[in-house]
Amino acid sequence: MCYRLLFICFLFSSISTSYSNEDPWLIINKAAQATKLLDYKGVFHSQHDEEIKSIEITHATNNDQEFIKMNVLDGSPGAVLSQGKTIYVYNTIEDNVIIQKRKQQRLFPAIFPSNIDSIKNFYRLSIGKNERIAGRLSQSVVLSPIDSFRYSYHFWLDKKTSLPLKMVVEDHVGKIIEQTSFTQISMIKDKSLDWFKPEVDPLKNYIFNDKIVGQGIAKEPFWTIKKIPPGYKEVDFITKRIPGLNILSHQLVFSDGLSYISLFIKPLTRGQKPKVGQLNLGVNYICARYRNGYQIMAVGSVPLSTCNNFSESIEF
Amino acid sequence: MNEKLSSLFDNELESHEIDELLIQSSKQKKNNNWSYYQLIRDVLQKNHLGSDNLTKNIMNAIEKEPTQLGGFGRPKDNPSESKSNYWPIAASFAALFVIGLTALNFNEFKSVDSVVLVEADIPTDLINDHYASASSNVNLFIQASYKK
Repeated sequence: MCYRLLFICFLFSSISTSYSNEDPWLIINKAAQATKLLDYKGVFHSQHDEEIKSIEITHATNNDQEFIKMNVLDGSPGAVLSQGKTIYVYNTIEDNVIIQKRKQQRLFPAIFPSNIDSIKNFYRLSIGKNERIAGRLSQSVVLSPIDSFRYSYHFWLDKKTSLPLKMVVEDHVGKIIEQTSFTQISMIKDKSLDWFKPEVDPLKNYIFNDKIVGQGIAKEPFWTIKKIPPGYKEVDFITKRIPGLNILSHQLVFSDGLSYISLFIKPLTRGQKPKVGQLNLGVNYICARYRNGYQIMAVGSVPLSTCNNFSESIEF
Repeated sequence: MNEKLSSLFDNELESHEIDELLIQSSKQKKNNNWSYYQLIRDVLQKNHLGSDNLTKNIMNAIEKEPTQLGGFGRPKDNPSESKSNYWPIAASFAALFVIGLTALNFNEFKSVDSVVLVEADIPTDLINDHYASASSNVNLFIQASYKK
């Protein structure tokens, strides 16, 4: 009996030791995996800038492919159907439903990059207390930036499944930039994909925009980028021809794994005055510079220092 | 390439040809030719907004050039040779004309004063294009209907 008690004590202490020695970043890895592998259905509220939306989400994985359907529950109807790497957005504007094909984006709750090494170097992870979100016990986790080039991210991860249940993005003074939180969520066991289809309203006109938003002309940079904030990498590049003007406008998208900023490079047309300076529009900063006949504009929900840094980074 | 550039400014190209040409011109760094063609197009279409003192400025530029027009030989002795000897003069004038026009155009461009960015300067497309690439669930639904 005594030996048995000692064995149980030893087992318990070894489990505790192994838990405390565990890499704290594993919790983020588990959360990233959970967003891909779990089948769930729920409703979350999302606030970005002055917009607040309630969104119903259904997620399932079938034959290693992710299927996601989102429905906007308030305001003008809207839906998203995502299969693999393609997203279709259905936006209702009066009597028309605009269908747009979009590139895959990391959307809540799947906001973590597949390789979290990129965020490990620029954020400090701290574990907070347990809290209830959407009726489920969750673990609070904070990713604080190590420099002034990014905001801090607060996550509440489901204790049982590691799925992110809530996310809050704050600036350096604690002002909320963006927040999203589940109000209800449940795991689904039915593997059927019958739900994966748009709801068609026969009274509406369906207008299909077959051009992928964000897909452009081949990349032919004639500029160099110098001294951008550490951790940010180019994740996308879009070139568009401006109708009627026969000029190309370029958009470079940078991300550190969590934050995003766009850098626009557009030639000035005759008679157009270059804009310089910076301003705050909702949660976005916009920084404008003029270089060699080109109007440079950086746009993003990032700190002002990041915005300015990007707008000054282009050289011809 | 130059022919296509010329057609572009005469609005004689199809949409897909314009895309191709713009890419090619960026690749080959034809920026100088680009501005010449724009300038020629503007002058031909009487849209050039250059200085009224164009002729005066060109004449000033010519005056500043060192005089190196010697060595014409004897025209009467060899008419065909004398004819060809005028080509350098014509070429010089043509070059000066283009340089003058370009300089004026360049100065006009350079002298454009920048203005301080204000909210009204931010095109809706700029925010929408950023939202189309940045991760946010809400952005997906406001992209098509965003109004400033």
